[in-house]
Amino acid sequence: MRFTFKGIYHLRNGYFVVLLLMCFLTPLAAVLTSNAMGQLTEHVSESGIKGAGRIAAVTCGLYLVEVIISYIFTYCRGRINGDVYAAVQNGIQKHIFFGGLNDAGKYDVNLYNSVSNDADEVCRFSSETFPNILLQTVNLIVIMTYMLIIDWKISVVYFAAVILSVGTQMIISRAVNRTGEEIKSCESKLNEKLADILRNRIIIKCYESEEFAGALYEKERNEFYRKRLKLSRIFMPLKTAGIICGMLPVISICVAGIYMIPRGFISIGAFISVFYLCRKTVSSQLHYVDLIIDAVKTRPARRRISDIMATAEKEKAGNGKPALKNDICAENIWYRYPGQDNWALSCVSMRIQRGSKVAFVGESGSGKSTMLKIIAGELEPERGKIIAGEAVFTKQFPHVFSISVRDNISMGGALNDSDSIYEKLCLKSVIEGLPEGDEAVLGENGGNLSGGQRQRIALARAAAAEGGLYLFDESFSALDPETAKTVISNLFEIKKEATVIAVIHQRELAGVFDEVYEFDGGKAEKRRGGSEKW
Amino acid sequence: MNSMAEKLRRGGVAVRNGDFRLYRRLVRKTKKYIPLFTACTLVNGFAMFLIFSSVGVLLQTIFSHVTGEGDIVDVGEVGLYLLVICIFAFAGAFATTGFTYIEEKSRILIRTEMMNSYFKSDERVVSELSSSEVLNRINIDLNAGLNLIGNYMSSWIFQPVVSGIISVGFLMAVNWMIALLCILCGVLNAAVLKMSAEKIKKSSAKMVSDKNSAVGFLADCIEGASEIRTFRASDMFRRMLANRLDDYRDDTASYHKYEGARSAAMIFIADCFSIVLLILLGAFLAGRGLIDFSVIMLALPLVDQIDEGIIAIMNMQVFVKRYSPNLKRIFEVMDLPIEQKDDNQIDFDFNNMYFEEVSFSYGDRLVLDRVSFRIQRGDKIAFVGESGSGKSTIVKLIAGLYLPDSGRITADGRVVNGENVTAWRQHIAYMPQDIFMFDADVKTNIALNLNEQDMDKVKKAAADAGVADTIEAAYSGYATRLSGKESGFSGGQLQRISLARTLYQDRDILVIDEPTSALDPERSEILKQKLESIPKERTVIAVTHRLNLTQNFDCIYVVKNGKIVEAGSHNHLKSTGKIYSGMWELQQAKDEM
Repeated sequence: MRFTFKGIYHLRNGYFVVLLLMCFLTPLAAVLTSNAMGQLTEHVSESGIKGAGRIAAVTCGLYLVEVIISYIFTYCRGRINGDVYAAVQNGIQKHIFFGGLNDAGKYDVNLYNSVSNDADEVCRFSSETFPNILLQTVNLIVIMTYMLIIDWKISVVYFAAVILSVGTQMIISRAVNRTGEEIKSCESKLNEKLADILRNRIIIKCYESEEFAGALYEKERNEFYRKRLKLSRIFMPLKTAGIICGMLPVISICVAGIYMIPRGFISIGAFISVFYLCRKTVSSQLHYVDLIIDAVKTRPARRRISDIMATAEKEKAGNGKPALKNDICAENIWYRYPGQDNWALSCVSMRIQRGSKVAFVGESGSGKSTMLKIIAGELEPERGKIIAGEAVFTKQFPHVFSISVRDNISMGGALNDSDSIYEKLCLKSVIEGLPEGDEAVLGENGGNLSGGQRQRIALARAAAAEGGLYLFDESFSALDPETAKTVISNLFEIKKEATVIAVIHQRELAGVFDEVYEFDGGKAEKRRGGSEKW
Repeated sequence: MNSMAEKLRRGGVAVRNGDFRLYRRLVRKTKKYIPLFTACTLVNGFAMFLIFSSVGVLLQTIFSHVTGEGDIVDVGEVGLYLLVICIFAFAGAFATTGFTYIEEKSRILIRTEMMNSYFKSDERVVSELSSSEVLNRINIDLNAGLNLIGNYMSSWIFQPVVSGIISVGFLMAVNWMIALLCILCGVLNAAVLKMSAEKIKKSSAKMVSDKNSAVGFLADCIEGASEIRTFRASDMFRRMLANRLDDYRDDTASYHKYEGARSAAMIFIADCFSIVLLILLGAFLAGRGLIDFSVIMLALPLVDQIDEGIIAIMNMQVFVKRYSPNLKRIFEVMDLPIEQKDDNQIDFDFNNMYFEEVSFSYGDRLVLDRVSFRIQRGDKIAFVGESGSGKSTIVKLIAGLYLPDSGRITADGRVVNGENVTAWRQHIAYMPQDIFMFDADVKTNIALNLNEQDMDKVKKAAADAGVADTIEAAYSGYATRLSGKESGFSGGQLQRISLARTLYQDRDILVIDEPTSALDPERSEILKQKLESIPKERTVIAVTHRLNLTQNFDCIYVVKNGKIVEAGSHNHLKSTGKIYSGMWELQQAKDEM
């Protein structure tokens, strides 16, 4: 979906077609209503109030049509706003899921903030700037044609005045912006001084140095004061010039009328119609150039959003690996984190049979989490070979979404027997403690839930997911040993045929597992396997 | 900031909340500018009236010719008329410089008051308010508040009102029925605006909250992106976002519906209804011979002015309400409880000072528990103990920064209380534990004065603090600039400059809090000698955790858990074999390592 100047119709939005139609109808309606009003005025000025009632009614009727058209225009703009915003947000979400991760395996939050601003700009462009540009362009053409039909002289006067006004206003705004910049730098210098003084409050208090404090920022204060007065001296007359420029087109038409009507170039009725028309449209026409400038300014944002929407089209499934069918084989794995000299893993080999429940233990930094990540496919070993499969990977600090507990868990997979899962993973007490049970919507990252409760939800999530390989990286760290043992045994029971590998740092839990690998300084040794006891 | 209001209430300040009350307070504070404000507003309002009525005048000229009442008008005359209007408009514009003048003068007034209030107020309350928060209020809130007494308020509220009133008066002079019709149309427009305001505000708020919910949900998705990928739950989350976005779309649509309906109604009334009625009225009155028809053309632009005037009256309340949170924050700072300064206070003549059963708490935490001791003039006293024992609090009480919660502090038999604590403080030169340096040069930081700096005294103080050679070696010597964050001096050097500042003041009592925390042992030794060589006329009170600094002091108080547990000279304490001697052994051992 490209958001260039021309490409917005890709939205395939019915409202846009209606909007386009309104863009044509609005100026036509304006012409008709001004004409009617002109007729009314002419009639009344010549023949008094007799017979004016009918014309007045017609005029009001036409005005009603005109405002209805403008209402429809606004409504369509609102619909387009909503649709464009929704489309862009959906695109961004796809991008989050399937595109742009940084090195840490996370979507860049700063990137998201700037993308969010771009999205707002695109939205504003689509629903305000662009429709208004369309409207004003058609307006301009229609009005120009109308005035030319009436009398070419008056159209020349009018448009000359418009161009003069627009030009003057552009000069004015440039001057104002320049002085505005000066003021800003002055203000920030003053603020720095003030911050410095306020920070040293204690000293000022203890040594009664309020005068000293005042003297410290006197220079900046006076400069700011002078600059502000200077700005106002420049700005205010310019502002009045701006107002006069705003009135200039209408006034110039009036002056032209004063000249032309007595000399019979134009009839009073036609003149007054032109007057009403211009009075109605002049202010939006004076902003026409601003609209174009605005549209051009949003071009980079629009391009960026287009890129995001485009890259979101391709979908990636899972982590690209097939399901685990056999044993996991690791041969002579060497791994080193980028930019480091020591090996995190040196020559690690293991063979994990399908269906076995394995624990990795060791001191922190011994390489157990690294090995797990290699099995999961998140890291590529520098040397050696690994055969694994698609894994359900649960981390130590899981993210709990601000949705219901049930949804948090069922994102892993459909919850067929929720009660049994809650019970087996010791979540029953947690859920019963919530006012709406498992439909309770959680706060930010789990709200008031403790670390252990959050981990249990993540484990339930894993339990609900179907798969052949389950990896847990210190996912029981916040549970007390009793609960942890219960939860782990229940997990094994639920996932009888799956392979489970867990990194644990509480050694007392190792007893629950079939096999235990001890990691030390990048090397792994099987401590216990098969039916040996710890 | 709720707790801020709580604390202010506890400190005896009730921040009253009425919007208009705050506005009135602001106006009263700046009341000497009211005449200027009024004058500028009138001039500007009149200028606006002239500019907009010029269209009406021109139209009337055209029509009076057409209906045969006037002669062919000379374009030159018209041009002159317009030129006069332009000149008046420009002259009126200079009046708006007056508004800027008012704004800036008021800004200086209020800012100075806020800063003084912050400096002078009760330490208990004000230490909760960070300096950056105060700066924010001086900046953002003050800027917003000045809108209410400056150009913004004038151009949106008062000028339209003035212009509207002049228009009404003018039309009254022509024919009262025309004026009445214009007023009625304006009231009708304002009524539509008011009736729809509530609904549109609600709709807009709902739109914003829906948008925030969608944005928040996306942020949540980012945080949990890896979980979503692992569990392949993207469809589920896509659906959830789509639901939220559907809500947003519906709300945007209804907001635009209301907005569109309102502006349609207002345009109809202003552009069609009022003009048609005016024209018909004009014809009616012309038919009765009361006026010439062309005169009704004067009313065309003026009906807009009257309309805007009436709406401006309505908007006044909206504007005041919009900025009243800012005003509230400004007055919170200005209303901070100030320590009283009694001009007739008798000065203290320091010979001795007693702490009698002094207790002190920060909030709910008891920090000092019935502490008692005596300090004589010329003593060298040390307070030692673990961090958090309360020793810093004791010296802050000595320095008069706080007053005890219970018990009392007396000096020469007089109790140090809220009324005379400022006089008491003039005897104290306090060096706080943290380093505070101003963005100025070294000599200014030592002398705390921009204009009167006694260089001999500065150099002597620097020498006594043991930092003179460092300063002279610096790039510009005593004129080297220290800018708060980076100064080219190390932490220890800055600490000694801070000590120099303390020594520069000719005050009886030196209170020094942890002067050696950033110094190496060699410098500490030099400092120890300097402190010991301070003449007997000055009393020295030092807080330290480095026991050898104060080893030769007259009396050492060991503070633990808010109580004084041991007191005496170094040798005496060492011999008792209790806490002090234990600390001493530990430090000796460490130093030897």
